[in-house]
Amino acid sequence: MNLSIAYFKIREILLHPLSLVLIFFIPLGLTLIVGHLVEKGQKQLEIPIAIIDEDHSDFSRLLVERISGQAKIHLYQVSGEKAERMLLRNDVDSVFVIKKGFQKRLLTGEREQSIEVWISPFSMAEGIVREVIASETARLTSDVKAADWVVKVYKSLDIQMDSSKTWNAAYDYTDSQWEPEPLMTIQYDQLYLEESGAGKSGFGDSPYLRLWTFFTMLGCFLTSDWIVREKGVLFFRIQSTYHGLVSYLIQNTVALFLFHLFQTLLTFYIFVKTNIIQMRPELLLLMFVYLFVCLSFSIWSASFINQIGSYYIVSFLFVIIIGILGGSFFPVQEFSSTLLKLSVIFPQNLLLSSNQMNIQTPLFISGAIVLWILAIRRLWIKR
Amino acid sequence: MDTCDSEVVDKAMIQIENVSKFYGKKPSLQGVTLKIEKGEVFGVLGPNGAGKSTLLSILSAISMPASGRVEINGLDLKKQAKLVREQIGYVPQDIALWEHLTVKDNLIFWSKFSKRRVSKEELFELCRTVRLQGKWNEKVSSLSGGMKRKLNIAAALIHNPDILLMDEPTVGIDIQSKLEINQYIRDLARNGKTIVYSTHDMSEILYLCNRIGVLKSGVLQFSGTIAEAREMVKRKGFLPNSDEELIYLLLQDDSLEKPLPYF
Repeated sequence: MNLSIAYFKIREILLHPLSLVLIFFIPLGLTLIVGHLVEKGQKQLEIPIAIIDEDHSDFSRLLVERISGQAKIHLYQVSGEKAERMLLRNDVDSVFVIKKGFQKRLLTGEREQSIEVWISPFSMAEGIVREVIASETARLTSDVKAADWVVKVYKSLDIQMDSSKTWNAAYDYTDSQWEPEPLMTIQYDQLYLEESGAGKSGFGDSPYLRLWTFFTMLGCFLTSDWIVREKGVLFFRIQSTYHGLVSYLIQNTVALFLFHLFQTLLTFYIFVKTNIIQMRPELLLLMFVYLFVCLSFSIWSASFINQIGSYYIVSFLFVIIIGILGGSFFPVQEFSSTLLKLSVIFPQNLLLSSNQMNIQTPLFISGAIVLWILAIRRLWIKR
Repeated sequence: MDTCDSEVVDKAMIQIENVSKFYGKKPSLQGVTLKIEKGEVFGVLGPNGAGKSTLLSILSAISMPASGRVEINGLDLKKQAKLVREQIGYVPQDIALWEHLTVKDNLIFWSKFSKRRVSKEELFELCRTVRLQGKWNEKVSSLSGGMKRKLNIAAALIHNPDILLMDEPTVGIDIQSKLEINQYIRDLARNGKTIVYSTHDMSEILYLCNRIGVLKSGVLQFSGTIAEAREMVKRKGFLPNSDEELIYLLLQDDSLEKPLPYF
C-alpha cells in the first residue's frame, strides 16, 4: 500500500502549530493545568483551624500531630495573639486552645474543659472539627484509662511487675486498637462504589486521568474537523483519483492516530513520573483503546455534519455531555444505580471504572471499528 | 431533434452506450449514447439540472451508471474503474484545493493520489505552463480567483491523463484569466488530450469545442458540430442570425416547434 498520503499528512501536521496545539496542548496541557487547579481547589476545601498549645506536653504534641494528619483539616499551630488575629480576619474557621495541664488532667481521667474553643460569627465547620478533636482526646483518655486498669488488675492479683513498663505496654496496646481506623466505626454501605470498582481501581481517583478522558475526546473531535472541511468538493475530486477516497481516509486517520498515540504515551510518562498513576502497561493499553474509540467516534460524527461551525458547536456539547455521563468530571455513577448501569456504555468506563482489560475492551474496539467503517461508507455514499 | 449515432467506432476515446442514471426514482440521465474522439474538445451543454454534472461524474468514475456501458480509452468503466481513473483528470466546478497549503504542496499532495510517480521538477514545469511559477511557494488562500482556477486545472493534469473532464472550470473569473485558460485548453487538445467541457458560456463553446452535446432532462437532444446544429434548426424552420443565437435555440427548454420570444 502506498503510504505517501499519510507521510504528507504527518509532515503537514508537524508544520502547522495549530494542529500540534490541538493534538498535544488540549489533551495534555489542559489536563495538567485544569488538574492542578482542581487539586488546588480540593486543598482549599480543607477546613482551616488554628491551635494553641499552652501545655507543651507529650499528649498535647501528639494531639496536634494527629489533627494535622487529618485529610480535610488544615492546621496552623500559632500563638494566642496570632490565632486571635487569624480568627478576626476569617483566615481560620475556629481556634482550639490546649490548656495548660492538659496531660495532667487526662492522666487523672478528666478530659472535660481541657480544650477551649474560640469561634467567630462566621465559623461554619467548628462543630465538625470539635468532633475530630474530641475523638482524638477520647483516644488518649481511653488509652490512659485502659493502662491504669491493667496496672490496677496486676496489683490486685499481686503480680510482680514494673508498673511503668506495664502501664506503657498497656497504653501502646490500647492505642494500637485504633488503627487502621477508630474503634466502633460503623461499616457504611458502599454499594455503588464497590459495584463500579471506582474505589478499588485507583485509576479513577485522580482528577488528572478523569480530565484526560475529557480533553482527549475533545482533541479528537477538534482534529477530525478536516472531514467536515473536505467532504464537499475535495472528497469528490479525490474519488476521481487512482488511489481514491478510502485510501485517503485511512491514511489521514492513521497519521492523526499516530500523533494522538504519541500524546497518550507522553501523558502516560508524565503521569507516572509525577505519581499521578502507577506504572501499569495495562493502563497504557486501555488509554490507547480509549483513544481509538474517541477517534472513531469523532470521525463518525463528522461524517454527519456539513457546516464547520455546526460541527464545533455539536462536538463541544456532545463531548461535555458524554464527559459528564461518562464520569470525566466526577464519579457520576455513584449518584444512582441507573447512572451506574448507564456508565458501562461510555468509553470513559474503560479507564475510570474498570481496573483491567475485561469483556468491555474488545466490545469497545469492535464498536470503534464499526463506527469507522460506517463513517467511510457514509462519506462514500454521499458522493 | 437528432440523437447521435450509436454505432461503435474503434478509435473513440470515450464511448457511451445507452447510459442511464437515477437519483432515487428521478432519472438524471436517460439512454445517453455518445462517442468522443481523441484530441477532440467536446462541449456539454444544457440548462441547470439537465444531467451535465452526472455525465461528468460517471466519466470520471466517481459514480457508476445504473445501466448501459461506458468505455474509456478501451477500458470498461464498471470493471476497470481504478485504471480508468488514472486515464482521466477531473476539474470540478468548485476549487478543490487545500487553501492553507502552498501551490507547491497542493501539487505534491495531489500527485500522491496518482499511480505514477511525479517529480518536483515536473510539477514545477506544470506550474510554469499555467503561469503560476511565481506563486510556487505561496499559499493558495493568497491567490486570486483566476490563479486558483488555473491551479485547479493543473492539479488534474499532474498524472498526464489522456482525458480531461472539465465542469465549468472558468466560472466566476475575470476575462483575462478566462482567455488564458481557454487558450491553454486549446493547446492541450492540440497536444492530443481529449477534453469534455461543460459550460454555460456560449463564447467558450464557440471558441473551444469541435463538437457539442445538448442535454435536457437527462436526455441527449443533440450531438454534433455547430454546422450540423445549424442544419438541424434550419430543417425545423429557424434561421438564427449568429452562432450565439443558434446555441440559445438549442438550450431552450421548450420545443423548437414553438416560436421563441428572443427572435
